[in-house]
Amino acid sequence: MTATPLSWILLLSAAMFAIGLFGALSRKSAIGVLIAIEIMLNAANINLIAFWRYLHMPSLTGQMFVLFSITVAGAEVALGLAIIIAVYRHMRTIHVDEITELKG
Amino acid sequence: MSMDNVWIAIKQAAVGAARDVLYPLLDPVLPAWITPERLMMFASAVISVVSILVIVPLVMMYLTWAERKVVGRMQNRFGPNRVGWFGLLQPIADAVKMLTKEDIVPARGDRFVHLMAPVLILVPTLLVYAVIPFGEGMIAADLDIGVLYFLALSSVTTLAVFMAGWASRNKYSFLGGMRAVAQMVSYEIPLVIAAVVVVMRVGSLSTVAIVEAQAGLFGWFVFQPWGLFAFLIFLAAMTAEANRSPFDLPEGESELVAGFHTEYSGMKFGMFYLAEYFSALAQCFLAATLFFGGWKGPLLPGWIWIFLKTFVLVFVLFLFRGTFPRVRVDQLMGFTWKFLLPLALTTVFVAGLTYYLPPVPGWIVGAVLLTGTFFVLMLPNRRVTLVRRACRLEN
Amino acid sequence: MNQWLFVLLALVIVSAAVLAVTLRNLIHSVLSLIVVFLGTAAVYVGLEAPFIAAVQVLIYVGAIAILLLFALMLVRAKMGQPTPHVTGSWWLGFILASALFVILAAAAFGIDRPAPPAADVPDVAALGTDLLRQWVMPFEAASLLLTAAMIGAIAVAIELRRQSRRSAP
Repeated sequence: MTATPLSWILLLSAAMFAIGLFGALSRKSAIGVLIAIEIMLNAANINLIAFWRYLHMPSLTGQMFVLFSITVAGAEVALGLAIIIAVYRHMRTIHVDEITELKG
Repeated sequence: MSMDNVWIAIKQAAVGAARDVLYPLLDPVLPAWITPERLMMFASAVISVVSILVIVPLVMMYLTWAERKVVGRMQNRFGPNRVGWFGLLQPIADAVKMLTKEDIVPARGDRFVHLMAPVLILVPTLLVYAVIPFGEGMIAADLDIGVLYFLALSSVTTLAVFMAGWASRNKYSFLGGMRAVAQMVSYEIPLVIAAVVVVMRVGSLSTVAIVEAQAGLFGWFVFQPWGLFAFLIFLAAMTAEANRSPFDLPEGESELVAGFHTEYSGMKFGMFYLAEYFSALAQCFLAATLFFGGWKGPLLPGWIWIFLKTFVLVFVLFLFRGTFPRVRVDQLMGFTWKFLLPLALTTVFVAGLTYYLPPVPGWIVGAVLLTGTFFVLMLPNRRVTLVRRACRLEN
Repeated sequence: MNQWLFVLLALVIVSAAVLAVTLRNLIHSVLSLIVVFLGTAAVYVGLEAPFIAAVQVLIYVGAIAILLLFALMLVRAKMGQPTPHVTGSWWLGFILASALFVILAAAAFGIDRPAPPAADVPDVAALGTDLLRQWVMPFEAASLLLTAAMIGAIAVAIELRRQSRRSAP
């Protein structure tokens, strides 16, 4: 009954980040890209908490960082979705490879 | 040995049995990682979980009976009185009906999401019972973050309501689901802020610590001005979170057929029904813990006090159902954003202010400030009549 | 945290993440994302950060996922679209993501520290105190950011409603 080695947790977050990156680069729908970005943010947060637990525990820097990261992620999703809805109303599509013109 | 200690004695007996009887019995067969301590922890957890899973549904079943009787009497009729004496077997009849009805899934609906929604709504509403102190030392899990755990899991049910509305591929379900989600998300904010008022004064998120802080004759938080207003906000927000009258627009029978659970039948509908009542009961337990001193009270054992307080609150919910007309959707949103939220923020401010003032002047200052804010907030919330809206449409 | 429990959680999270980025039906994609969020919250609990786990559930599952579903509904994401759901150059994304994973994994394998005992974990009260003492500036900045985000989102959405009402007959 040993504890989890730190490298395993970092591996998980690396895998999540890579999957998120793949999604962000290959999804056609803008909301799909946002979903992939959320996965990447969660990967980074897991990384932060893992390092906090294994290295810096008495101080709370890791948890604070994650708290603010979650806050900023919430704000970013809200604004990103508002912009996507605005773009949809204008261009009737949210496929990222069809939104190629700046002129509205 | 009073009733208080019976549950604790059962738990200790089970833990002792796990250590002294069960472990030596199973020792040759068990792998090395199952130590006696782990078996004891498991036994303790099993007792807690089984007692919650047995008692809470039983209480909830008779709560549905009580609601139908009380609301019936308020409407000048008997409630159910055919099935057994005074209709006491009615909940059992309901359960049998739900179990034996045909399970209909809409043809073009999303089967997987349609199946997952009742599951997702029921599991969190049962999980929250782990942090409610049913008596002194009678809590399933004394978490450091008890209240936050409760509030976080209550917010997962919103998702299930959306899933139910979406998967049914039915205009009424969809509309009901959207309204329900907008309502639940909006009313979560005053709910959380009202809980935060109490947490702020106690200095801990643990429900046990919150109950311990309400010792004394008038120590319940509801006797403080900020506690009273926080309780009223919590009551209003809790009624809306549980989609109960007068905020039951999402499932209003006269408006949207049955709202987001229109297309559900049989046991799946049963699970929505269960989840609504479990959720309302859990929120009443939390209100009793946060504002009414939980299990504290003279003479009677703790668990009787908390059940008494919770049942009074549930009775208040029944009274709401029988008395108030249904609130319109724009009135609903206006109520939370323009009234409850500013009032909740003012309550937080007053609670902080009275922490630094001496007790008696602090009470008076708090009461005056809060009552003043209450009346000031009624000004922007005067009724928008239909005549004015018609004039706006013309322009 | 027990290593086999962690392996189980990691498998759940990774498979849910893969589903989230590859499913055609966006609603199902968001549901897999919710599994990722819940799994991440479980990992936080295992790493002695229960407050962050509760905040994760409250904000990510209780708000962000619902926001994503609402937006999907508003842009009328249809189920089972015949058009492809990945861009033409998805293979490039795959190569880049794999390369990044190899680099990060190589860096991760070298790091192994023993975990400090669980008794050293600061409790939630310390978090609250720190938030208003040492971390008060980021706290205030975050509140400003949230206000700005809220106002911005409302501004973007409302302006369009007036435009569409003017253009509608």
